[in-house]
Formats: sequence, structure tokens, C-alpha cells
Amino acid sequence: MRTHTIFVLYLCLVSTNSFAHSGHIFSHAIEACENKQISQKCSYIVGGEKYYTGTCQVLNEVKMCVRNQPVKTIDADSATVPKNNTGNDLSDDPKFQTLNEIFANQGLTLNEFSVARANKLSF
Amino acid sequence: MNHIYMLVILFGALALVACNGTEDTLSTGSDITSTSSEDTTDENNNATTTQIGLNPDYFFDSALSEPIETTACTLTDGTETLCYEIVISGVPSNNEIGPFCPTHIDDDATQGGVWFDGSGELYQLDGAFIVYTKTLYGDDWQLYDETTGEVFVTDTQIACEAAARPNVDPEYQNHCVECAIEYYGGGVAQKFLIPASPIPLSTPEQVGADLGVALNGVVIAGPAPVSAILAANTIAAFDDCGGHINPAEGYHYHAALGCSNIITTLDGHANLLGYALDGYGIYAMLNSEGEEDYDLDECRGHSDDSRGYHYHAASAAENMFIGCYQGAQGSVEIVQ
Ligand SMILES: [Zn+2]
Ligand SMILES: [Zn+2]
Repeated sequence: MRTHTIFVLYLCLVSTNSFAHSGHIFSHAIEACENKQISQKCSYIVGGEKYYTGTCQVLNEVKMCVRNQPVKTIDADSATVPKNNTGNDLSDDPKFQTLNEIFANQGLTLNEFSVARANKLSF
Repeated sequence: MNHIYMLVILFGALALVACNGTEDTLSTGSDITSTSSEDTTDENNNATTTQIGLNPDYFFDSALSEPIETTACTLTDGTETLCYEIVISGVPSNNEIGPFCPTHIDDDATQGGVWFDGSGELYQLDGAFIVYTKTLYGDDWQLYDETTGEVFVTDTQIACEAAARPNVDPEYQNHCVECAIEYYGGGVAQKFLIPASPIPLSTPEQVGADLGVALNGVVIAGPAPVSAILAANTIAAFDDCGGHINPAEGYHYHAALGCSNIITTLDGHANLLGYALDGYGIYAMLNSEGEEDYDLDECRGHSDDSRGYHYHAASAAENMFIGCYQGAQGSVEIVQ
């Protein structure tokens, strides 16, 4: 365990340079918490259509978004907000951010998201 | 919703592929009712959540180096209490370890394990994925010999240890990394001290490198450091159970893929797969209807009358089990 932790920390320290030339390595869960405090809400989108929401936590020395709601599928074409299991819009639920907020977190407007999805870009 | 159901089917299929090993003698189908429980009270002596502790009978006997005993222990918050001492032998009792890396780019999914990088995707680690890493991760990725199609795999102990160290030997960059449990005495024994009755915390605490133990005797680890692994142009391959081997800890899980969900609940709730270091149970992500709960807290836990407070594992694609601890933790150490 301690060895594991030291190993991870060391890797984090030495990895910066080699990381830079390794192409588009990404982790949405880590990026979603880059400028957030522990316990703050976070969300991210996988494959242009899977919507993850949760809170920022530190796991094994890394701050990342820990999902605590079921994964939702976004219908960006009709710009609808994901619904919960009772069929209600999650936009009414204070736990959820609006789609626009999510896209803003990823540096996109809803329109840009739709275009990106139409072009089959993944982010 | 179609995608969610597809994921469920995928995970179910993976679990079937991965868990077709030998059956143990433990009877399944029992409900979580015989576990020791205790009500806690707040400062006003009002009853709060029922604390339901670990049930040692749920572990496979063959997963353990010695029978589970109770012993005095001190938890992370300073509480002196009684803990279960669980000593695992370091190999899963109900299925084989591996396979991890495919050896040729023509290999199919049965000849390799899985890979997840925390981006929300779970990849079958077959030969095609080895080729795909160049597209996925960058042009400097070359995990196979373009002439022969052979995958660069760390297939000796020297290679495994040169690649599974912080300063990856440049010779073993651009490798699919795997280690054999035979290099480490056939399994690394570890001793867990887990409170017999969980002690709730007022604020959650962070998860570290290891966070619990599965019922089949495998260490449940925190997220794999996939960014660092990828930075060395390596894939630290997982088998179809979400586990792999490193020289320090032996075999351990980074994801819940159904291989230790051996206690079946009767009320439709997800199955128990193991316990966290704070003594709370960790259950699979989905219930018998294939659905996930909506009321999980930031640690991915919630309470019910039968189970008290407990956690639900995240999906393998998320590279994690739980988000934090809601209870004071015991400890885990390697048995020398
Ligand atoms: Zn690991
Ligand atoms: Zn539950």
C-alpha cells in the first residue's frame, strides 16, 4: 500500500514531460474537477452522449469526479435535459446542472456540442 | 437508456466470461440478515442509522490463509474497538488470474483481458485494441512488431519489474505490461483489520491505494494510476475481473466486473462483493433489474433497513469502486 502510494506519487512527478507528447490522453473525470474543491458538484460527458454527474473527491492522491447518479444518455439533437426514473426533467433537481452549464465546463456551447457530435467528435 | 442496457449486457457478459472458474463450497442465495448489527445514537441519544457489520461467513474459506478471528484494533479516528482480522492468501478463490495482454494483433477478446483509462470507456484488450492504441493515444504508440504482428509483452519477471516501476525502463516503454503471480510466491498474503461494527464519521475521508477486500480474497484497490501508466506508453493490462499484478502487492482489483459478487440478495438489491476498510459492505452497481440507485451519497453509499449503510461500486469504465469512506477505517498490510 505504502509502496503503491509512493509509486503513484513518483509516477505523477516524473510523468509530466513524457505525458506531453503522448497524444490525446484524457480523463474526463479528472478534468471535471480541475478547478473545483472536494465535495463540489461535477459532471462530464463521455462519447458525446453519456452524461455523468457526481462530486469531486480525492482518490489515491488524484482529485476526480465520482459519479453518484446513474449515467444518462443525452439527446442533444432535441436539446432535451436528461430525465430521472420518474420521467421528470432533471433540470428541476438542484443536484443537477443544466446542459449549458455542463457544456460550458467543457468549453463548449450547446450548439458547439451538437456540431461536434454531428461531426462524430468525441470529448 | 439503450446505452445503459448495452453496458449492463456487456458487464454481464464479461462477468460470465471471467467467472467461469471453479465453484467453492460457500452457499449463495443467503440474505444479508445474520450479520451483526448495532444501533448508533447521536449526541442527543436519538437513534440514527443501524450499523451492520461485516459477516465473516460470507468469505470463501479457500480465499483465506487462516480463519477470520477478532482482535483489538485502533481505527483511523483513534477509536479502540474490535476488528476482524482477515488474512488473504493473495489469489482469488473462485477463478483463475488472467489472461492480461494479447500476444498477437490477431488475438481475440478471449486471449486478453480489459483496459480502462478512466475516460468512461471499457475496452476489450484484444489484438485490435493493441493496434488502436496508436489512434487512441498518439502516433508515438507502437505496442507491436509491424512485421510479425507480435505484441510487445513483458513476459519475464525482469521485464515485468522493469516496466512496473516508477521510472519505466525505456526498453519497456511501448509494452503491454503484465506480471505473473508465480513471480511472487503464488500470491502476496495481506492482513486486513476491519471494524466488527462500523464507526460512522462526521465527514467523509479520502480513499487511498487500497480500500477493502473482496469476498473471494482479493485486495480492492483505489483507482489505477492510468495517466501515469499511459505516460510511459504502457498498458498495465487488467484481466476480465478487473485485476492485475504488481510486484509490491500481487493481484488486486481496480474495477468491479462481477467476479466476487458471490452473495446473492433475495430482495432484488445488488449483490455483496466485499467490504471496505471501514467495515461497510460494498455491493455491485446494479440491482436485479439492471438499474442503479438514485440516492447514492458522495461516497457512492446509502442506507436501507436490511443492510444499514453500504456502498455501491462504480462501473469498471470509471476506474473506481467507491468515492470516499463514511466510516473510520481499519488497516491493511502485507504479511511478511
Ligand atoms: Zn494496480
Ligand atoms: Zn444499496
